[in-house]
Amino acid sequence: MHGLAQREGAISSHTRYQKRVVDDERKNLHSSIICYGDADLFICFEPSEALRRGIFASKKTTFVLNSRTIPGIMITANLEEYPPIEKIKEILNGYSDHVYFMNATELSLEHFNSNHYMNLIMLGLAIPTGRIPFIEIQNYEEVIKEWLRNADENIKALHLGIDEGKKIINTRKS
Amino acid sequence: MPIKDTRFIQESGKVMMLGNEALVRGCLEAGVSYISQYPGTPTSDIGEYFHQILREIPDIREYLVHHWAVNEAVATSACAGAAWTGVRSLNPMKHVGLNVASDALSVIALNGPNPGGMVIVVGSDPGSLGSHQEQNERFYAWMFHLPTIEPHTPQECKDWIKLAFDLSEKFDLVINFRTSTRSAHSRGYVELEPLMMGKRKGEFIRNIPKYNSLPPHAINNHIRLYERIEKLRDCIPELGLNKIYKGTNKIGVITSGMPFGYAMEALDQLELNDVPILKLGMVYPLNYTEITEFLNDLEKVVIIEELEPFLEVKIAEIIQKAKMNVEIIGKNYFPSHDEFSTGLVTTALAKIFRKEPNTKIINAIEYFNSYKDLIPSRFPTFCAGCPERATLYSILKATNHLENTIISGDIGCYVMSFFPPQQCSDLVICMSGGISAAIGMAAKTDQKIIALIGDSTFFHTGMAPLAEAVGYNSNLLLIIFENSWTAMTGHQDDVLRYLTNKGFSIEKICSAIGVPWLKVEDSYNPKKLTKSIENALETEGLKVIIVKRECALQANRWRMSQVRKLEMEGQKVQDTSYFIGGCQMCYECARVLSCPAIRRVETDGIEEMQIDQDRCVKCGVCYEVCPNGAIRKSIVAMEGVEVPFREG
Ligand SMILES: Cc1ncc(C[n+]2csc(CCOP(=O)(O)OP(=O)(O)O)c2C)c(N)n1
Ligand code: SF4
Ligand code: SF4
Repeated sequence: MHGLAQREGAISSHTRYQKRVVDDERKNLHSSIICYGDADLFICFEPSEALRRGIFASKKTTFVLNSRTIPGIMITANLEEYPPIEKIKEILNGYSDHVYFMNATELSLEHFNSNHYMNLIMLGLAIPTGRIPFIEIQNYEEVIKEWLRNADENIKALHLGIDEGKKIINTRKS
Repeated sequence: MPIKDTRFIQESGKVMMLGNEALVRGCLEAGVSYISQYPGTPTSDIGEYFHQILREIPDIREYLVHHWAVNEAVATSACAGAAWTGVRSLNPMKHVGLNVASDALSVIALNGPNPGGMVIVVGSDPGSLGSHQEQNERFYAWMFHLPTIEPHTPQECKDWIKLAFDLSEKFDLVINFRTSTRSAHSRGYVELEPLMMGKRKGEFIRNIPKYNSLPPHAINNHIRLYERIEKLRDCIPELGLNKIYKGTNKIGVITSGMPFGYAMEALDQLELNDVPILKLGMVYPLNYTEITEFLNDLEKVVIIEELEPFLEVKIAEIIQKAKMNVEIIGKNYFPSHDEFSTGLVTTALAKIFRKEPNTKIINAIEYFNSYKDLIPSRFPTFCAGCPERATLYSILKATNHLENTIISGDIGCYVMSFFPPQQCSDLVICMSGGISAAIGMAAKTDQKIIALIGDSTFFHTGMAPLAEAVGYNSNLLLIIFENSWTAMTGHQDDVLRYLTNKGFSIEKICSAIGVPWLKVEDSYNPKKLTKSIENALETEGLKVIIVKRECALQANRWRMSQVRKLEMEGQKVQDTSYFIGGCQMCYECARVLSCPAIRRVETDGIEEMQIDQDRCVKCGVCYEVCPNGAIRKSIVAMEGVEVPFREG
């Protein structure tokens, strides 16, 4: 992870797992950081952040993005440009066809009167892409109950993301 | 942290932990009984876990004491003091903390921590991910003879910190447990072992030669230190810290810590699974036989280590002493700055082993480079509503945008003030380096000088230079941000809080030291603060302005919890909001104040500023500073209870 998010900085964290450890130690995962071009899934809470960590993506990567932009003070001050969303889409499509946007912040505000549920809605969107293997929905629910306050609301947010996500992904397929 | 976190207290099991959490668990299994530390990334959260445990099980307070120290030098000596009463003490610090602690540590290492045990945890930060610089603190290990253990996984963090205490006690050596931003903050499964309660009380037993490293004892202790380190060196192979992965290739790899992970995956990607690897868990001292045996069948050895070449130099020394003919490949292929990654290590190893470079990595780099200039910058900046940002606004106004004015910056959230658009800070050295540099400048220039310092930094090392500035009546203005927290490192309680409870205040200290010109202001009142700064700069000699306002992040957390509580009780709460109408696009709020809750939007070709209601914390500063009266305040449910930010 890369810190300072609470102070408006860019942050990313990598998740890697394998189903079981194998005997040949050289074949196991050893690094907590993904190799360049090796990410299967990007979950981006802000569109331009997908580009910032783009070095970890390749043609196998699926992108799910919250479409709510957070331009940052340099853009508000008109000292820098925020790339048009169309341009961001074009760049990501240069990697793969699997690029899904959803306005998760708006959904969170609309359903929960707070922006705090955006992250679970985004996780929900990621699930129907099928790029998170071995984990069942009930596993997510268990972890939410164990780790988060307002578990019921968070589980609702997760399912809202899954349902909305399915719609987005199916429209694209059809 | 789970809602009900039993990971630190359950007797056994397999749980998911961060490196730092595992380290704390290891301390609890090792019977640690005193911890002292000054916060600093990536070690601050170690103290937070201990506090969590002490909160949840108050009964162990007799056996386990955690102190947030005023600075690292105090923490290190305090840990030595505890160890000398015969208990086990832990002293975590960030890499630059070691610079502050080093004076004390040089002597403590010489004397030795016995009868107790003492382990320092040094959180290194290759890549400067959460620090103002990067440095290879392993060289201190060499200088002071601190056996240095480098974990790679959370399991190693737990198991090896226990071992570190055993070694410290057995060999009378201070052990250096060197983590990094990555190892401290990576998660993994950890197999737990039974807990052990620390000692409730120890006893100091007089031993003048051991604890007084002055001539003649200083030299004797130095000789003793060599004997102790040599004894440890001899048993390294039995400790289980170093591990060999066998292979038949004539080029081998020596590495440790996080780079080991990158190296393993890089070799696998390049299908170089016959390369012998020596993973060092202990990077200082090295056991000569262990190293020469590994090198015996090799023609070349690749040393994979971040930052300055430490292992490379130490291995070269062994090769030379043993008159071996093994070529060392190190910093001629790997950078001496920044952190490594699997991609970087794979690329370097491909060249060394003359393999085809990995196309996936090359494509990833190339495509990324093709668009990376379009990525908008997102450097850290003050939170929405931050009082420090508001103070900088007043500084900019009072000095006509820093005309003939030097801002001698310092380390705390205000370190971010060098970033645009405010670009206030002219320099930053280290904690309390700002006021110190200002003293020298004031002696040699007639420019106006404003030095910045936070409350935690003031207690860390700021009072001494302030006393000096009083002594020389240095012509400078010191602005003290009293936000009641050590904010930048994640809001540890300032010593200030304890002192305040005892009737102490920064104001009283400044008066007592003899500051001739002193004012206390509120950052949320920019007009008054600006005036005060103007007055100060017109006055010769030393001036101090204390700006009091709680850190907005904490203040807002507290306020929201109050609101939730009142609403639960069924009470109506006043709801204030700020919005912009009739914006003239003068950029006062965006370029001079630059609150991140404000954004520029364009609708039908017309540009205006807008406030993101979900991000605004309602500090009201933009409302105060808008020269066009375009920022409005609206209060809904006027009849409800008002919940303002707390004072002081
Ligand atoms: C020697 C040293 N120890 C620890 C740190 C880590 N550190 C960076 S900022 C900071 C907090 C400073 O707190 P304060 O001065 O109160 O400023 P605030 O962040 O609250 O604005 C600390 C502890 C450091 N940079 N150098
Ligand atoms: S954490 Fe507090 S002091 Fe630091 S930038 Fe945010 S509001 Fe300001
Ligand atoms: S009131 Fe204005 S300055 Fe304060 S947080 Fe909201 S937008 Fe930012």
